Amino acid sequence: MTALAAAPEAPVIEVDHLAKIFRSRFRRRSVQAVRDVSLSVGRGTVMAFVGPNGAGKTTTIYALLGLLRPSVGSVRIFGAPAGDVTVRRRLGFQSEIFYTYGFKTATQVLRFYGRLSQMSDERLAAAVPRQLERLGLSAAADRKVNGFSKGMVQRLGLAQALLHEPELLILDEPTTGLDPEGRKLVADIILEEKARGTTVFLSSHILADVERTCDHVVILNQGRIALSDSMASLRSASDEWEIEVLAWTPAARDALAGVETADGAATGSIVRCRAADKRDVLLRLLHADAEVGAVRRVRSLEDLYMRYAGGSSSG
Amino acid sequence: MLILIMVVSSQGVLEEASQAGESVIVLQSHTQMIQTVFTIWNVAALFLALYLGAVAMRSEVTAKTLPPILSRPVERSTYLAGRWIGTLSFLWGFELVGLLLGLVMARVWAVPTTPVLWIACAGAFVAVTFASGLSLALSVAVHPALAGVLAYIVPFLPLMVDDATRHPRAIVRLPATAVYYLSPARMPADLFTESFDKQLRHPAYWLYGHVLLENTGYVILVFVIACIVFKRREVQLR
Repeated sequence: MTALAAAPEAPVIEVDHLAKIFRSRFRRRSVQAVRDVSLSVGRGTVMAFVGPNGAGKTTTIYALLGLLRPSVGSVRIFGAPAGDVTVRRRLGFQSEIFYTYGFKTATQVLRFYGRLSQMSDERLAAAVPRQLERLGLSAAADRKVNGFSKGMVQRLGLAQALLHEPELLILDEPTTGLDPEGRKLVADIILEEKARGTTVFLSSHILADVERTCDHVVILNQGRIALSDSMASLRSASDEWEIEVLAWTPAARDALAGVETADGAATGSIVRCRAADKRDVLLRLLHADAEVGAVRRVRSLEDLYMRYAGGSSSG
Repeated sequence: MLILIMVVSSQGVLEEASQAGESVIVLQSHTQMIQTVFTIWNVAALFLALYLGAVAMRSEVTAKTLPPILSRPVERSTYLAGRWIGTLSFLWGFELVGLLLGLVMARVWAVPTTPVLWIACAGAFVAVTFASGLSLALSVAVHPALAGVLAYIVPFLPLMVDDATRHPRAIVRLPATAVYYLSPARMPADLFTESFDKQLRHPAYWLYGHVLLENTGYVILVFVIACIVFKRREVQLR
């Protein structure tokens, strides 16, 4: 891995009041895709970037890559301006749908992108089969990409992003088109990379994967940051719990009669209560011989997402 | 295919003329045929060069293959130069096939040629280099279709503004003069025609060489400017 130019404690990604305005030809119309976005991603952090379609996620990612220039604000990666060649040497990027040259085989595609990342032949010889195996593509190594399924192409896209062992991974909807097995594979790889110390900037719609893999969540809505918080903080701030009751007894119904529950009555199979009442409710249910199933926090990322970004999808 | 039909269809008549002792007519016909082959091939190569140069960048944008490349540590000028070299390698191969075809025909039919033929061949390579490089360079700033049209028109600019350079009003004369001198050089003769003339009308080899060098330099300069523009401007991703 290349030595860090910036100090180890310095943020890997620094976005300062980023705004991006797209103007049509002759400037008759303009669309502001991103408004006053500021964020900082520390080394080894997995940052989730979620939001509805058209929220400005991909625009922000392209600004991180230096493909788009900010209309206002600045973007710095590893302390250098986004798009700098030294920065690009240290990052890996997977686009929402990986478009590549279909006439090449999987191995040729990886070798092509590896060479663009200035990898030596020796490194490529070791890295290409390793990444193909990691992404479950070893059997298709010598097949042309034209014949690949959508999921295989996506996995190849992730393989090319990981090939040169980048210090920063920017993944734009990496699980698009993947089956549950593929989604789990991607989540596992993100966790592996996190354990390796890689910083991951993940744009995703799959909130369950985000909850599983990410340290920090940013919800973007209509170009603005609607919420930015750590997963730990979001979890600890949760106040509501759900207790699944698989089998009720008359005694259990009587036992919960005086308990204030979120749904008001203990007739359903789910009992909602505040965190402070959770222990009491559980004890009453168990003493009354009710069969209790899962006990979980109600306030999931999905709830937060719906609160901060729900109903504003443009796609 | 057009060339093949032309050659095959005329062979019978020329064979009969040859047997009848009309060697001059046969030689003239063969010469015309070879000149036509060169002309058709070069026109095809020119339009191919204009098209491939103009769409070289756009095809990557349309295919959405640009972001994974430009997110790598690759200078944009290197990428652009790579696209041009890739396009040129195909165009030069195409041009080589046509020129070899014409040269083989000249050899088989024993058609005498002049040394200008070799400069004409070099000129054909320069022409496709110029057309592809200019259209690719212009496509960085304008729509590919417009880039192709402009790259086609640019070599004719000196002819188009020639009269205006002598206009009495300065407001017409000065811009026309500027355009005249900013335009690429024009070859003073059709070299492929001259290649088969017994008596050279313009035997100024140094001038032909100068024009080829100047146009090569011209397109390289325009390409360098395009690289600078491409580096500074935002990548069109849609």
